[in-house]
Amino acid sequence: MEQIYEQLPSDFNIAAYFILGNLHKGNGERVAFYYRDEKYTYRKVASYVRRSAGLLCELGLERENRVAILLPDTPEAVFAFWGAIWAGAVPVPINTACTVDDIQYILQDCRAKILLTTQETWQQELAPVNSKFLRHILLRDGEQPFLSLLDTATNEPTPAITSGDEPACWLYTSGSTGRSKGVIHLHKSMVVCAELYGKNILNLQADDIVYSVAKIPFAYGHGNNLYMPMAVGAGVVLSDAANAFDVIADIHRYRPTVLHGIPSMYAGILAVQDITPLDVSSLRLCASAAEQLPATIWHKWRETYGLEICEGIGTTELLHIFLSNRPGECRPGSSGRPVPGYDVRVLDDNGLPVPPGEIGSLQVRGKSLMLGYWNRLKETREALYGESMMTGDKYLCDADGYFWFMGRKDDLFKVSGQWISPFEIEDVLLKHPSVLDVAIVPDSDNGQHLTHVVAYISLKSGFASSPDLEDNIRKFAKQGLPHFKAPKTIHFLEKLPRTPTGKIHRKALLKAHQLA
Amino acid sequence: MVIDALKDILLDLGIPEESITDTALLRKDLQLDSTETVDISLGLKRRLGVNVKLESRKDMTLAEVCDMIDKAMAATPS
Repeated sequence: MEQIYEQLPSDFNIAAYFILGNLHKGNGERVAFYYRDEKYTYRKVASYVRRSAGLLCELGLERENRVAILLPDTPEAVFAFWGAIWAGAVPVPINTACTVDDIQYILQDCRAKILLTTQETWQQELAPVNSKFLRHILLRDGEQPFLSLLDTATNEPTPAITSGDEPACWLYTSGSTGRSKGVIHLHKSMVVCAELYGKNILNLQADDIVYSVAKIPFAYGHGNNLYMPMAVGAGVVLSDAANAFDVIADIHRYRPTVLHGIPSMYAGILAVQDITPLDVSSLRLCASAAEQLPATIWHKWRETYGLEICEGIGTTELLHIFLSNRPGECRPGSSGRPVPGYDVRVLDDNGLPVPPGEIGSLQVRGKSLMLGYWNRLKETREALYGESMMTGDKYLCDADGYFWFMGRKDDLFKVSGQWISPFEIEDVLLKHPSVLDVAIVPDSDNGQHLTHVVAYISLKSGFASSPDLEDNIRKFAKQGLPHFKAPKTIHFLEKLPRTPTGKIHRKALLKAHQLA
Repeated sequence: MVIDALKDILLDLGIPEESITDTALLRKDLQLDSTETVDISLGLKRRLGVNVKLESRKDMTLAEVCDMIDKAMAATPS
């Protein structure tokens, strides 16, 4: 990988590299993406990207300025993303599921001069949002839709001459332990991921049609939908699918060859097999990331559809996947082996590699590592060690070189591919009039099924545990939290176990729960 | 009754009874996420034996869901 990375010129614009590269390779008439009933060829995308760059420049966007993109996966999001990079500016995709408070924070933190969103989002949800940096709001719909502005735009600038080592885009972390952090990635990093994972592991080809359950603002969806297919001239389905039925309908409609799923979606598709059977005849490859895929789901998927799922793990900081199973060599329940080009190690507390079979902290070294967190020097310094970072995950590597997830060094866990901090849930439950003390722990039956949230609660005097009270607390949680964070199971205890320093002893609870 | 079965499923999901009205929208009003809409379909299959695909692209009221269930039941051979 050193060679590929070093071979890229120092003046390097990743948008121009992909867009012009596809035209030069004769992919102009190939479909770059499918969106509803529309097909966009690489030639059409190139034209819209240039015009997006022109429009953004006319609005006063300058080199290195940020453009916030708060949209579902749509053509407009794609054009604005590449258009901004083409102009030397920096796109910042924002997850549409963010709260208004988070969006306000991100807009101010990244100092976006331009925001692209929908009329409904802007008028109904973002009315209280105020950022002194915002100069223009572009809307996908309404009186002057972004696409119609592009259709009438005439300015198609040449690509900005950027350095391969300068920021190309930012992705925000989920902010499960405080505010989201802006993760800065360089122009060259997308090539690294496309080469190492997209081409070498997935073997993406120009005749592939890629479908991703994860959306563009997530690092996983960002690579799946934006740059990996583009690196080989393949097509992508841009979709607003949210549940298993939507995904099944999309697969039947667009007939993708590669499915990038997440564990909860694989479980959902299997669960509704009797209601809507999935036709997998178009699929050659299934991949999964975002949270650990339980071995039971892997086996059930293969039993039902005859396909393996290539499980992997990546982080926003490393842009995409660095550990992955390979087609034909999958070990269900493992995260696979290092993607060649990444140096992945399991270290002890002194930073020394542990022998195979022993648990330690995961360290990853690779060329796609972030430049750093925006305006977070302390966190950046804590995360980075030269070209490597500690991910915060506990892993073991077996004698065959397969890596197995063993938990987190902190108390975070993932449900439906999204980070959860137990403290946020505990804070909400503590507001319930009956709750004296509460501890939230994840349960996955030792990795056999999808993780769900379990609450251990001790009650105030005068309250007695009952199914009605449990029901009442569950409803209370759903009113104060996104539903996926609400506990699925509640156990009442007289007293919660605590460590000698008075902290809730989550490990003791987890252990007790796993033994129960 | 179809509405009773639907109501029971929603209560099992932890949705407050007072929110469960004919005009309540699954996503906007009841805040159901993608897993929960699938759970409703699975609950309907279990309780009523009907195949109801609750896609999430169009937000539906509970009355509209009941209509879908009625149609699915009518189409299901007894």
